Amino acid sequence: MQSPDTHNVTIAAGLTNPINAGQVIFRRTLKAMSEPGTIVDIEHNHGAGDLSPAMYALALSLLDQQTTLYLSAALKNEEVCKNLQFHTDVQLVNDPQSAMFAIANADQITEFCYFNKGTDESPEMSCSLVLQVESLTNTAAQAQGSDNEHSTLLKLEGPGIESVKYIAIAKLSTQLLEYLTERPDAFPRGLDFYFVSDKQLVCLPRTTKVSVITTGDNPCM
Amino acid sequence: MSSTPEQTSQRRRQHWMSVMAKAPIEQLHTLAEPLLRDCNFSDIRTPDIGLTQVRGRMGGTGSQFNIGDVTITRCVVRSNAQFYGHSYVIGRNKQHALIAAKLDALLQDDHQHNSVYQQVIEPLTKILAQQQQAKKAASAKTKVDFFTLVRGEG
Repeated sequence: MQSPDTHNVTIAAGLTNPINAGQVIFRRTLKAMSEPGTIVDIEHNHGAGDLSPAMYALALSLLDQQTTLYLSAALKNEEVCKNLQFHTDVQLVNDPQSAMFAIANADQITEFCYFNKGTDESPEMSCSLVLQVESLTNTAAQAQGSDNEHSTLLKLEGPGIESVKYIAIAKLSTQLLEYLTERPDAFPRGLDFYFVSDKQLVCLPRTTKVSVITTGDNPCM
Repeated sequence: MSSTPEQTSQRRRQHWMSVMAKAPIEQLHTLAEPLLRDCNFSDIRTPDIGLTQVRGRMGGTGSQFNIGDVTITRCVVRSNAQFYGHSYVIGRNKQHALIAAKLDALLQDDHQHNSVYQQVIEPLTKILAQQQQAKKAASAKTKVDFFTLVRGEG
């Protein structure tokens, strides 16, 4: 059993009741993934370093010693690494190709070709991208979507959605929007996306057809 | 053999962590209660129970083999002075792991170290030594010396 080198780094508290809280979060994540565009609450009272409370709680329930994690350069600091390794024993990898999970900021991620898209025989081996965003808004009607000028309004169709759903996500990189709408990888290969704000989560699996209704006034590069 | 200050402090910490882990929970609780009454800690890793594999050597010298699995309870807390206290305790007593982790945090703090050491670790060391002695005495009675009678060769 190794104890982490905790000098100069604040180790945040883990889930108060790891088993029950982990199961609740996992169940909600399952709901979000099977009903794309449905926003679920992931509540936690604090984050860790640059990770938002919901991102931190989601990471604690998804990661363990058998999963590999790629952290984007902006989030790969000592505090985030130490906290995740301490609580989950996750294996951090530098090569996105070998990562089962990737955590990044949605306005900074630009490259998708390096991630593992799975194979035709085992599409489930693909990477899950967990992206941190500023806000998520569920818009019932298309017209109400323009209340946040930085948000991109997306129209969603596909399995798990009865007819059509709209969702506004703040600050997505243009390359990310391009990937989501074009889905260049031949099905069943592809990437599944989790978008996490401070307290909420929405998922866009590879089966969801995404089209852009309005982009924010200042789209981030 | 000389050792670096880090090795020395590591050895000292190993000693007090080991004493607290082996100590009977009743005595640990009685001794620790007055010291912990006024301290606040935040739970970093709430006590959780798991398994670990124990290995040993036949007669203490042979090659290693797996004896079996034991349940252990581990816990991490942070004291107000920002010291992280860790504990790993055999069994499934969460209270035991929690007290041991809290005391480990206090023992790393130079301002508290001496009082905690004198009031908890020293008495517990004595209790453990007595128990060890009693066990040795009890098992010594049952010791059998084997010897082989030489059979006459006719």
